[in-house]
Amino acid sequence: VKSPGKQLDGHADADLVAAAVGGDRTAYDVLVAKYQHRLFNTLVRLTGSHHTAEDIAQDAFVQAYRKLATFQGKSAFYTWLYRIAFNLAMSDARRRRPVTCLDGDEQSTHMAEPADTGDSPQRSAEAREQVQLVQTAINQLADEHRQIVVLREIEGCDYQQIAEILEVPVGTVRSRLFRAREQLKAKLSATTLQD
Amino acid sequence: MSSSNLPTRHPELLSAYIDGELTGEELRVVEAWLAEDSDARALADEMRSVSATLQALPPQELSGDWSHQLSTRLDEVAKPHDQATFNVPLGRSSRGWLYSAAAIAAAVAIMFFVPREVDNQVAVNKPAARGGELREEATEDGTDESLNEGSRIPELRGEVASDSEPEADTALADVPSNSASRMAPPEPAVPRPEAAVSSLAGRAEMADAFAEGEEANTDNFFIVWADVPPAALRDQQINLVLARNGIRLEEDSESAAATVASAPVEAAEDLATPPAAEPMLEQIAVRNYVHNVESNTLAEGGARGGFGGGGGGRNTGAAVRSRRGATAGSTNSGSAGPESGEAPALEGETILVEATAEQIASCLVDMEQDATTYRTITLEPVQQLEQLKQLADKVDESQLRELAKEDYGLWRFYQQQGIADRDQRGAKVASARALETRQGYADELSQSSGQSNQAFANQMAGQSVAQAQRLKRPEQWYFYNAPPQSEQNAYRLRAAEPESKSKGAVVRGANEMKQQLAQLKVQRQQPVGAARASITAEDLPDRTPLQVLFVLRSTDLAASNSAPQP
Repeated sequence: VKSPGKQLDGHADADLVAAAVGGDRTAYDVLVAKYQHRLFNTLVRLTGSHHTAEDIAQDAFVQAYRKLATFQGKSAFYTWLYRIAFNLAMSDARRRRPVTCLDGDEQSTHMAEPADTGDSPQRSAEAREQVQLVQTAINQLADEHRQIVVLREIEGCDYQQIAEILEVPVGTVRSRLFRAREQLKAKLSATTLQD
Repeated sequence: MSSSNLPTRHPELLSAYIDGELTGEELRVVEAWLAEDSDARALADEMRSVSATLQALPPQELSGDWSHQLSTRLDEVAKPHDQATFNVPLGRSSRGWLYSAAAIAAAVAIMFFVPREVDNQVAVNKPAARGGELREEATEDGTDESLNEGSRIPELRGEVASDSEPEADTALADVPSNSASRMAPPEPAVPRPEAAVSSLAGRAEMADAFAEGEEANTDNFFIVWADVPPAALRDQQINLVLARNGIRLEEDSESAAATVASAPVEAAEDLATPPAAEPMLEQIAVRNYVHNVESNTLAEGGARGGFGGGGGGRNTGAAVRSRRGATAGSTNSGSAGPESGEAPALEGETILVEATAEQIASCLVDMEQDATTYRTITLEPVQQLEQLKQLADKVDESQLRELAKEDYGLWRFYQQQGIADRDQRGAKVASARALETRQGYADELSQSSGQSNQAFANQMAGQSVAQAQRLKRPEQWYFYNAPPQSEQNAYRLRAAEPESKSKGAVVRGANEMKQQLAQLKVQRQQPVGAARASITAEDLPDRTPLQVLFVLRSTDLAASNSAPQP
């Protein structure tokens, strides 16, 4: 994405959207730069696949750009964008086999370089293995549980935001999140869980 | 440690507590609970641990060329329209839909002019359309090999669906396409790989028109409305259309339907809908809502006056109800055939189908050719929800305040309107969804377990991209919900017209249909095994799955609109 103009960096999303609708590509690039990593990381956990997440993130930004004029600003831009990506992910999941685990090689290829903590190679390998275990556990959740877990733990959404994105009552968010955590607890060994 | 020891019926409160999502009384209750119960503290700690583990997952990095690729794509989109290839903008505007409707109309017309061999070959392209032949009879023109190809049920022979696709495509590329090219819809902006194949025949053209929706829409949702005689509902003749086109009807949903149909009162959980159906039902609901408010039927006492049947009388609901008694009209029972004695009058049935564009188009062709069963056929794209909502916004809220006394309604509707406050909701809750059944939707809203999503999860786990599922609708739903009346919102594949077949032809057709249904019933009782597993997404890399809601309404509904109240 083109390097966004610095003068646009501080603008609110609504201004950027308005500028982009008016034909200012740079404004949209700012929005992309602002949200691409967040959206992508969420999609990685949601889909369990780095490549799929990249494709869907890209499709979502393109779709959002096409439909930008229809964005009414009743929700935050990112919420709207996320919903587009979410729908794409669900459509994609329906046309694929359900098992698309993030394999170890893919994970290690694309994982951000961990800070140098002086850990031994063996310990790093264990850490990677743990990450894989957690991702596998997420993948094994039912869609409705995985979505909520990702929105809460990866996206950091509060319950109201999750309810808006998934279009379910807050009470449903609460109960599904609890069930998802219970299932994750059962799937993850005590050693995998953080203290 | 088990949560069963906890002295509470709401263990999820602990989960919400660690997220800081509790206030007021709930917060006090949980704090007191944690203070006195070590099990509760342990469970809360475990929840925190799970949460921390997930939050500690390392961030992933985008590939180096991702941004460049996106930028290139955005540049393409940003090109002025006159530089871009003309695109059928299905889903972007009502005008766009009209273009697409014209494309479908052209496609339907083409279907009756293209050489049958072309259809035949195109049908080979349909992944699920293989296996045993079910329908032996030719259609009116006597050369209906193509439909035979499309009418095969994959399970009958259990053939693997993925064979020789490249060969099929190659063969198609050699087929002349004169008539198709004359009437072809505008080229899509970005030709899809199968576009050359699809443009060769009407059936595939229609599929193309459907698939085109994906270019412009996030969701590929369509509603197919049809008026069918009560006998066809009872016999579930739509099963044949689906099966002929390789669409498997889920056994589970069928058996559940049978249970419900025999129950005197439908339970709230029976109304749960899979999420895949929600966009369609939502569109119907909001459209219905707008219509009712605009025609003042809401103001005169709520959900009265089915507008689809032509009359819209306010007493007709009672007439339908009295004829149907207390039986849920939501769906058919597989055992409720004509032989089973006094079958309940059925309002209609609703079937959620997920299949390729080719299969859906082929289903429509089959319906189109059976005018006896499918008296009217209307296609409605699910793409104008935003417009409908804007329309709903303009409705005088005072009307609604008078009517909305309870907190029921379309959750999404007010969520998307940005209405979070409970009192505000009260003003807007008279949404169309509530018109289906007030209690039903209130119950649905109160469900916290997300049972409705289970069907969808099962669907995904089933690995089949071509399948159908019967959905239960509340009592009188079919009465209150009808196809769009405006041609801007829908395309009429066939409007109601007088039956022109001779009585003999009708009887013969009915007998033939009955025979096929019996075969199908036997077939569906066989274990599926390998045949079902063979229809997988992997076998269909280039197919475009569509979600289509087939809503079949009894022709009796229209008749009942003019019936006197008993």
